[in-house]
Amino acid sequence: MEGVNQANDRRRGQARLSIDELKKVPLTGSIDDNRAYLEQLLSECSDAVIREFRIQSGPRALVVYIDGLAKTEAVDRTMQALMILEGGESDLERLIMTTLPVSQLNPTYNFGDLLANVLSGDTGLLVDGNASAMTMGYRDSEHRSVSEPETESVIRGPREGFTENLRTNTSMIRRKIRSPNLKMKPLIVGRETNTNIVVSYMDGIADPELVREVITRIESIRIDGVLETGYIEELIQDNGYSPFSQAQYTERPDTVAASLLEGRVAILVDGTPFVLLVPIVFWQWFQASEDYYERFMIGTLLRILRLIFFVVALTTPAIYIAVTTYHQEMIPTNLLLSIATSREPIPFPAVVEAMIMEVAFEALREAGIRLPRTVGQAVSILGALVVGQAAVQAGIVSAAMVIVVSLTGIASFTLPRFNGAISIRMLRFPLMILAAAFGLMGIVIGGLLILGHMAKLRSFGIPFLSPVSPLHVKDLKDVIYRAPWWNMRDRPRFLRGGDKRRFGRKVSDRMGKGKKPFRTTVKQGERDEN
Amino acid sequence: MRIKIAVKLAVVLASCLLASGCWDRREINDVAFVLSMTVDLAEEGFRVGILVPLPGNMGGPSGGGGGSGGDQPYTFDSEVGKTLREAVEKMQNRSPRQLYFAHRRVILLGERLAERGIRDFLDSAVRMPENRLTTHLVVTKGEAYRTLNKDIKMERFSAEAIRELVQSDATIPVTVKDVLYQINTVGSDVRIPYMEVKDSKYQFTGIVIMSDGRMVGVAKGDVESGLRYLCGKFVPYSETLTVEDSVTSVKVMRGSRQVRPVISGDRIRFDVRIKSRGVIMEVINQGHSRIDEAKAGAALEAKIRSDVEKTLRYLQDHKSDAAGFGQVLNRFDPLNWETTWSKQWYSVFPQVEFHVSVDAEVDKAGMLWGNVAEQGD
Repeated sequence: MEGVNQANDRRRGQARLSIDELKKVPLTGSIDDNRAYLEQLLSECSDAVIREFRIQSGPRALVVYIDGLAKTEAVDRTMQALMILEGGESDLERLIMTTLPVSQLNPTYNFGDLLANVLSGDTGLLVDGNASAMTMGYRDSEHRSVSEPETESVIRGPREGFTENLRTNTSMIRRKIRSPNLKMKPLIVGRETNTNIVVSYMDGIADPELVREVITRIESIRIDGVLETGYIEELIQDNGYSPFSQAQYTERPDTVAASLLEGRVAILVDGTPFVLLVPIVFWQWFQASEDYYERFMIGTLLRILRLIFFVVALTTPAIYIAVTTYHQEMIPTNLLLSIATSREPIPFPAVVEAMIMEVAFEALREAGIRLPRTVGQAVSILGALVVGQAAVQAGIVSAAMVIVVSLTGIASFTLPRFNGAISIRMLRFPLMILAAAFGLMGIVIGGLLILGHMAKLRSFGIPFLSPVSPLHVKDLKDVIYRAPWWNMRDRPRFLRGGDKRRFGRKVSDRMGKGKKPFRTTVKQGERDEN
Repeated sequence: MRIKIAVKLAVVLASCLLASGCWDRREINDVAFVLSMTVDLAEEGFRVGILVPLPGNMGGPSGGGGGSGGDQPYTFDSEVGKTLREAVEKMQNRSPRQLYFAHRRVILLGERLAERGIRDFLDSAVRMPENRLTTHLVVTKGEAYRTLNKDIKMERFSAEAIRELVQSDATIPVTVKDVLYQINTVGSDVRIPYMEVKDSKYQFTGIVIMSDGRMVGVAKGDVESGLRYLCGKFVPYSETLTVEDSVTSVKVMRGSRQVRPVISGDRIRFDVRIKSRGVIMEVINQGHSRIDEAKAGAALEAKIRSDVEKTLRYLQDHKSDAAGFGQVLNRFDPLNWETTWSKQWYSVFPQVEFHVSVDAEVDKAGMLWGNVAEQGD
């Protein structure tokens, strides 16, 4: 009763109470007081259900839950079990031991914890005479079924993607890594949303310092709501003003599992199918999950291709501008004459021409994304072709420029990481302006500035360009060159993880060599467990 | 912190401004690319001709304003000046677009200019900031500017046709870079392809040889074939030989030379060893018998030997060391070269003796008539 009065006093001074503040308000032994306060807190919440009943010839009790989040049948079953209970048991502790058919139970002693659990979908049980409540985990929320990830499709590899439900997502990772060392540390962020967040890592593989740092940074977030991983990403990154994202997001459980095994940390947020992975390095832009499933030569070749097209996407329009306005001697004569022919009717300088086309292309791409999915892609490609073709015919832009823009567009689609690709798309424009003002020298200066920034950038203390700069020679086996699995015996060192080795020595030494037949010997007296 | 970075950035960008900037901008539409240039001797100095493509007439999408003049894809202009530069400036002043010389593929020199000496021309060619050292040089019979302004069938521009011909096996190509090297070292002389117009087609009929930067003769026919071996840059050619009672065409695919100076007192002898590989391309055979490779090789050997000896005589008569024997001697005995021979090389060279030995092989005799098994030997 005193607690309630205190709370009421506080309510006069302050309009609202957050869950954190309610944690200071203890439950009382009187069910009437508790009920009154609950009703006050949950007033005008049509989805909140507060049902009072009497335990068979014993004390009064009430259940509180949110309709739609809790399994109503299960709640009914529990009430039934309590109503027909013989002996009029009133002590909650004993009730748990004997009558409640629930596996997930949490005792709570204050309104904050109770409400937090109830609002997450649990059902609260209060019994008169107990200054505590039981929350029972009967959760039944609506969510999407597991389907193929939209953003990262593969030819070969698992076709499951995360959903909006945190529990589904953690279970997907757990299905991949069935180890007690896979830890899932729960956190709650958001003053109003109270979003469940799970920080997942492999105990003994991930650097404990890193895990601590991640958790500290997340815990220090003071924000009213977290609706997507992007909120977390921006709030915990090292450098907020960098054009490059310092966390990787993915929809694929296999990517997360592989990253965890490398010693990274995953951050799962309830309500979004995207999972954050930290720390990230620049080279992950060129790495798709499929590289590890296809044969290593193909993986390596594809990475080289992506690296080339990364440079193409970043510099082609700028180089076109620079070379056609300052360095005509660099173009082979015949090509130059073709370009001159196609540029003959164009009234604009090369910069303006390039800017028009690039901006138009970006607009078309954006329109393609915003349109309904079925028409989006077709419209954007068609639009680019038609607009490009028409513009050339009308003598507004040259055919060479259309080729440059198309090449740039295609090149930026080759990067498997979308957040890398959009950084590149963004940085293209300053480079074009530099090229227009200073020619190739401008491009070089711009490139150096970008490179310098990358070299300075860190993601959770890990340099953005590692393992290339600072150099870790052993880790180069999985940067551009994807070494065959039998050579990837060590985990990436630059992540400073605990357990360095992926393979046991004896096994790995014999694999891929083809010298001895691969044989398991069973010693005398040992029985094959399998 | 951010202000610091901004200041640093501003300094970097400002220093860019000092180096180059938008005022040097040169849109493609404002440039006339000179594909080829001709230089002739004129009354009061030089006559310079330029060939410029007209992008507006080269097909492609038609649109707004572009240069055009009739339906030819190029235009030709020439002008006289006391210096080459002056002539170019005069043309620049009447051209709406900036003349741009970095894309010259080939430079044609008139015969009279070549006879008077090419040093003056080279000075101008290299001083131009937009010169390319890989531009090909050609000497034309008669006046060069009359040669260039021609409509030819296969290529869009006459300059392109000439360049393709220079790079083919028709002649031994030479670039400005080669010429600069040869003209500046004692003990090697300049050689430049010699081009004529025959029935309105371009033809390379010989190699101009120079002595001290002046044209002294044109190596034609056998002398030219010999020069192919001697000048160190072998270009394949064809030879038609008579072997026993059949006539055969041999394509000489590979040739190389080795020169060894032999010095006794103040007499110099060069041992020239030539290796050559040929392929039989055709046999006009009266005897229906298989042509003998060894005999064909011997015939080729004799032919090459006489060619090379003719060439050597020709070079000595004209005091032109276009094969670079002086440089061979320089490498062999640098000390004496420095002190004695290099000072009087043009009087020493005609007295030099040569000893030529040729080793030629011919294969792919093949046969069309008769039975292979019966021919077994």
